[in-house]
Amino acid sequence: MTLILQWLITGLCVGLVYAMFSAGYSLMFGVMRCLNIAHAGVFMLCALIACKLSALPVTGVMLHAAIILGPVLIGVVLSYAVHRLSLHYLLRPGANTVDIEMASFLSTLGALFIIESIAIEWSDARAFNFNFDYLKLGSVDVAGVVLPLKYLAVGAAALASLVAMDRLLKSPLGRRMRATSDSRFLATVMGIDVRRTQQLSMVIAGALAGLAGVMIAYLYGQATYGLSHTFLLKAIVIGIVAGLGSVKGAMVVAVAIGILEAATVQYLGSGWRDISLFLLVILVLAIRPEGVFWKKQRAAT
Amino acid sequence: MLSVSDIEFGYGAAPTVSGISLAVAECERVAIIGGNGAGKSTVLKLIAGLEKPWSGRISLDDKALPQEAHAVAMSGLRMTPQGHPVFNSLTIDEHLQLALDLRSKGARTQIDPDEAYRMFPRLAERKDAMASSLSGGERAFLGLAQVLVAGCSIILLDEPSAGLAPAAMKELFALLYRIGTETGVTMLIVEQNAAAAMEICDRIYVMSEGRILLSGTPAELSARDDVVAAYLSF
Repeated sequence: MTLILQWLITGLCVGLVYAMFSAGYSLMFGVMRCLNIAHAGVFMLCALIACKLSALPVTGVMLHAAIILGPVLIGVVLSYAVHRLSLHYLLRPGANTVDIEMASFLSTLGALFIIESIAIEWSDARAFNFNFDYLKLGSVDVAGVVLPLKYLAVGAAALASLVAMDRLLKSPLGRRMRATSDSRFLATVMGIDVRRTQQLSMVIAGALAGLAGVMIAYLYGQATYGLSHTFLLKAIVIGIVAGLGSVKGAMVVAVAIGILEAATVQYLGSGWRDISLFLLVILVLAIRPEGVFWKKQRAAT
Repeated sequence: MLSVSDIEFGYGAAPTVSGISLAVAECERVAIIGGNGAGKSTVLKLIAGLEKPWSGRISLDDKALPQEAHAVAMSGLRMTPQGHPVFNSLTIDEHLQLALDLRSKGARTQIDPDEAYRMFPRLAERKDAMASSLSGGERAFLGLAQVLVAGCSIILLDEPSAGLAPAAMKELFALLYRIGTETGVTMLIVEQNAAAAMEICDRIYVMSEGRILLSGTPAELSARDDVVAAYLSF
């Protein structure tokens, strides 16, 4: 029983971080109708930067601010740059949706390669360690269940970010983003600046990816350039299972996948982790290929 | 108020519409009628800024329209697209809130959401329902309510009767007439159902094969046997 609680809770906390990453993916897909492959690169570079920042020779509030705000800022700037360089010209008004899907896949894949090359060059393809002097958290013993506090802290912070994201989607800006997701044509006719809304969705997703990067660096205790592939894979799995474009669906599935991974590692060993994910994908593709949270689109695009 | 002079445009190499000139005065309800493929909707798209004319000029109050379609909408030239599309993941109330967020400054006609709910009681009953659950007629009402709340100097209606059941269509056209007379909002309606358009409009343009053939008041047009035989007998 205690063992179950242990992997359940750590899995849940990691899943909440996955949710931050995938919610951004889904938001961008909804608003732009294109898969931003480079998002995983933004996340990975932010994790590397968080590791470097954790070794800064400052203490206290300054260090907290640097470690958290630094990667968020970089995430925002980098995400904006990806939009400007690889999507802005493709997403011109009146462009054919099918053309956009393929071209944006390739151009963001190119952006991912560039970001990865920068990361490899910078880190010499080695891992950067996270300096744990930053925030030493022990563990608590609740009725025999030993829970590492760092998981709980990250889980709580991730949950807070997701709640903030949910609030944002209900705000005037969020209404514009949801309206643009539903129909770009109708959004334009209503007076929404669709391109501006798309840029904003990239910036918000970038901030979430930056924060998720910090959290993963802190949880894993290190970061390498390979994180981008691991997380791209997870994002694709979550996208397929949830159905692309559903932000809330992505959040729910991401948490479930965090827990599934923890359970697999606990009972079958870490070698089974990716296998379990892909078995899930095959299962979903066989039973409900449009994804669990997919809704039929009836509006004109 | 709205003036279109000598515009030409096509999707391929050949022009779809050419030599189009028309004018709509304030508080007027004007319809463009004609058969399928006459180029009516294309004219409306050009006015709404969704397509750029090859040549010619479109102006509102003697000022050229903004370049981008969303800016045209914000300037008070608002369109209700064909088929009455709605945002599927937004509730009715969110549609009106969105319209409030996107208000045009200096638009001639602008109403509050409460007023819109009074005008369209069927929407008020289902405020929190998802727009995807609405019937065709209700979608048409929602589109109109949204345009009125956002504020407009002129409403461009693209085939309002299309896809509606006869009863819903009758109700919609009666409502368009009422809104027009009550609020004084200017309307430019593109319509295949000539009889319905003639009933509520002040002036009619008849289009065929990408050109405007003739124009006049409904009374003038229905007095001409040749026009009635060619365009109005359906």
